This record gives sequence, structure tokens and C-alpha cells, in this order.
Amino acid sequence: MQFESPIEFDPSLFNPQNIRDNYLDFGVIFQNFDSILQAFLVTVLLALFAEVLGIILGLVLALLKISRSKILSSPAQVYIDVFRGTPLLIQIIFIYFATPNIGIRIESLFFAGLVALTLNSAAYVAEIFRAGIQSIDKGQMEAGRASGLTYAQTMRHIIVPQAFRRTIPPLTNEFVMLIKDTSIVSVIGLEELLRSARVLQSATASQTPLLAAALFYLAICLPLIYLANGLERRLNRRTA
Amino acid sequence: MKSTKNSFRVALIIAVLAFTVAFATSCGSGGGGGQGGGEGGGGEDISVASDIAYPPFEFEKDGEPTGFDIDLMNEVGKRAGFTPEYQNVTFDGIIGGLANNQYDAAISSMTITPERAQRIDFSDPYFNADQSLLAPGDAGIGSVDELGDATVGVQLGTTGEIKANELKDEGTIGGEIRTFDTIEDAFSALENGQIDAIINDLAVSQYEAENSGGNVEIVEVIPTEEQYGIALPKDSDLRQDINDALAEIKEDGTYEEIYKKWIGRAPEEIPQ
Repeated sequence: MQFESPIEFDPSLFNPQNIRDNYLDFGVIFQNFDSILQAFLVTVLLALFAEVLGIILGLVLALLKISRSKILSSPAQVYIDVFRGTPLLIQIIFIYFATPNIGIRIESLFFAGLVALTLNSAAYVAEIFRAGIQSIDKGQMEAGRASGLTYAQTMRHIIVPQAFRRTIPPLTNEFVMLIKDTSIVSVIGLEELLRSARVLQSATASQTPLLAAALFYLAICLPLIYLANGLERRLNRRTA
Repeated sequence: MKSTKNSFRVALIIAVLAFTVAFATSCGSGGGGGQGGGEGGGGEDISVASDIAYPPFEFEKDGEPTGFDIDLMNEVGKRAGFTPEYQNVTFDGIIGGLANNQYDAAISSMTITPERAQRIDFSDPYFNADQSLLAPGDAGIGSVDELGDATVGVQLGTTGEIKANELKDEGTIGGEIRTFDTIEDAFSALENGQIDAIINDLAVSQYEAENSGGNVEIVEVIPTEEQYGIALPKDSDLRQDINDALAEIKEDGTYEEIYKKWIGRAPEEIPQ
């Protein structure tokens, strides 16, 4: 066993000219602004649709999971475990490249990406909802049942609306993750923000598109992150 | 009592961490342990980047990189006095990595182009290559002129991508050009029918066609007369040594041997 330093530092390699020419050449971005903007739109739409569909599917999963019937809760549990316990990258590769072997061929790259992101985010959303629902005091369910409402009616009109409000900050954080996760879908060739940046990077031999893409992600994620923080603070004040 | 227990715990954690770090660095030295150049010629280790998913030029067999490029680079190392340590990376990251001095060299079926030569240096050419159009035999695509609105797959950053964009600019390709990180992903999409054709290096697509059981075939050779070179950072000290070694290898019959082994026939012409 020989020891080798994992990092080497050589100040003579410091090259500000290279940094400027390769990483800060924003002319490249402005010349190709249309294609980047279009790809940015794909990213935003992908994340939005996946979030909405993921919330619907996630709510169903959460309700199934907290149900006392094993027949209902076990499949939901397995689903959540599988999608939370495996990398999204593997999920998207299976959904796009492997499904033709069972006769399903997804033609639209956007659709393939949407399916993968929705299925994945639903598992996380389900856990958020489950935690939200279980955080509502048990007495509320008892009160609902005592006043003659059924389990489903109490859930629908009393528990879920309250739980939903509490889940808005974690859902917003989940949405931020989802926006960044759309970049993983670029592996199938979908021209979202990251792929479009890398295509431009390859065409121009400049690293600037990657930096520009990072700024685009930041521009949309940062406001959401601060929004989630603000909502959380407000919620904490009110419930304190 | 409590504090002795705590300091013992801290010491234990530190010991475990130190052991982990030592273990990880000793195993990870030179890009993933087992990937070292098996038959290199000793001397100093140099890091060589390659997109090791490109048979028959570079691919993994039993966890070791192998192929035309690997054999050639090991031979060059033996003669020039260095041992290549292969780093498996995506192709589109190689030029940036060399320009930033992340790697000492790269051998990855990389065509010498004037655009690339602005940012990195190349050795003398070591392989004469062409592009090709790969498509399912029954798809009714016989040449690039018949592509119409077909979706064409390419690997990101390759001369196949450059060629496809040229064809699109001149109107021969009317459909979408889809880029993939690895050529294997593009081949999968083609076999699945998710794209209609692939423009890529002839020898690699040829290899895929032969191993596809007749699903896909080379429908057209696109002559480009391009040549592969070993890529180096600008003004690399290694360039002269590598060129001398390459010249020797071409001269004494070793080149022909490697060529026959991987391409299956003698080279028509040895690139100079």
C-alpha cells in the first residue's frame, strides 16, 4: 500500500486567463439565448407538471399507507420504499431504455422524464403528507367521528385540509429538489436546461454554458428556498 | 467518569475516520484501483482519461480497461517510460479536463480537429477513421440523403455530432438530432426504435452492428478522412516522447498487430 495524496496543489497552474476565457465568456450565452431559454422552459414545465401530478399521487399513497388495512397499506409501503430507496438515475434509465422490452415504448422524451419524476416525487410527497396527517391531534378524528362523520368524511373535511397547510413548507422544499432533479433526466437525451448547456458547451468548447445553467437553476430555486423558510417561520409562530 | 467515556468515544471515532481515509486513499490512488495500466512500462504514473464505453477501442472486460487504444497506450507507455492510469470519464469532459490539467493525457478515439487543437495538443495520428450511418436494416434508410425527418442519435461532443450538425445545417437532416452521454445509450435507443439512425465512428458502429444479431447495420460509410490522436494538455512535456514511441510502434509491426487484433484485418494504410 502506497500513500498518494488525493489532492495536489500547484500554484503555477493558476490561470486567470483560462478562467475568464472558458468560464466567463457570456457572449456564447447571449448568442444562443433562445435555445437556452427554451430549455429552461422545458425544465420549469417538467418540474411543475411533475410536482402537481406527484402531489395527487402522493396524497393517494399517503392515505393508503396510514390505512389500517394491510391490503391497502402494504402496496403503498412497497412503492414508497422502492422509489425512495433507489437512485432517480436508475429509475429514469429503466423507464426509458428498459420498458421497450415489455412492449411499452415511450416516444416522447418529455413524457418519459415526466413519468420518472412524477413517480419519484410521489414517494417523497407521500411521506410528507403522512407526517402531516399524523401530526394532527388524534382528538380531531375522535371528535369528527363522535359528531357523526365517517372516517373518510373526517379525513376529507377536517384532517387533510389542516395537514395540507402544515405540509406546504416541506412540499416547497421538495419542489426545489424536483427542479434540480430534472437535470438527471437529461441522460435520455431530453433537451432540458442541463443538456442544452452541455450541447452548447460541446459546440463552443466553452465551459460558460454550464455556469449559466447553474445561475438559471439558482434564479428559480433561491426564491423558493426563502419562501419555504418564511412559511415555516410563520407556521411555527402560529402554532407555538 | 462520563468525560473519560466521552473522550474514549471521540478517540474511537477519530481512529475509525483516519482508518477510512487511509484505506480510501490507498485504494483510490490512480483512479479506481484496479484500473491501472496492467502492462505498462514502469516509470512514473500518468493519468490518462478515456471514455471506456467505446468498443473495440476502449471498453471494460473483467473490470479492466481493454481495447485498441488501451493496448496502444500501454505500448507507448512501455517505450516512453510511464505507466498509464486510466480514468473512466464521459467523452465531452475530456477536452475541458485536459485544458485544466486535470489529466496528463487522453486516449479515447479522439479525432484531431483544428477546433480541438486550439485548446489541447495532439500526438501524431494513430488511426484513420471515417463516420458512418447506423440504422435498422428494415427501416428503409439507405444513406444520409434518405433521412428526411428521422431522429438521428449522436454521442455528445463527438465528430459524429459535428457531422450531424453539418448535415442539418445543409438541410440533409430535417429531423431532431438527439445527443447521448455515451454511445451505448444511443445504441440502446436505436435498438428500442426510439431513434431512427446513429451517426458515429465507423469502426465502433461496425462493432455494434456485428454484435447486434442483425438488428442494425452500417447503411452508409461517410468518408471524413479524420484521424485519431492521443490528446494532451497544451505544451505537454510528454508529446515528444509519445510521438517517438508511436513512430517506433508503427515501424516495427506492433501497430499492425494491435490493429489486426481489434479491427480484424490489416490496416490499409498506417497513419503518419
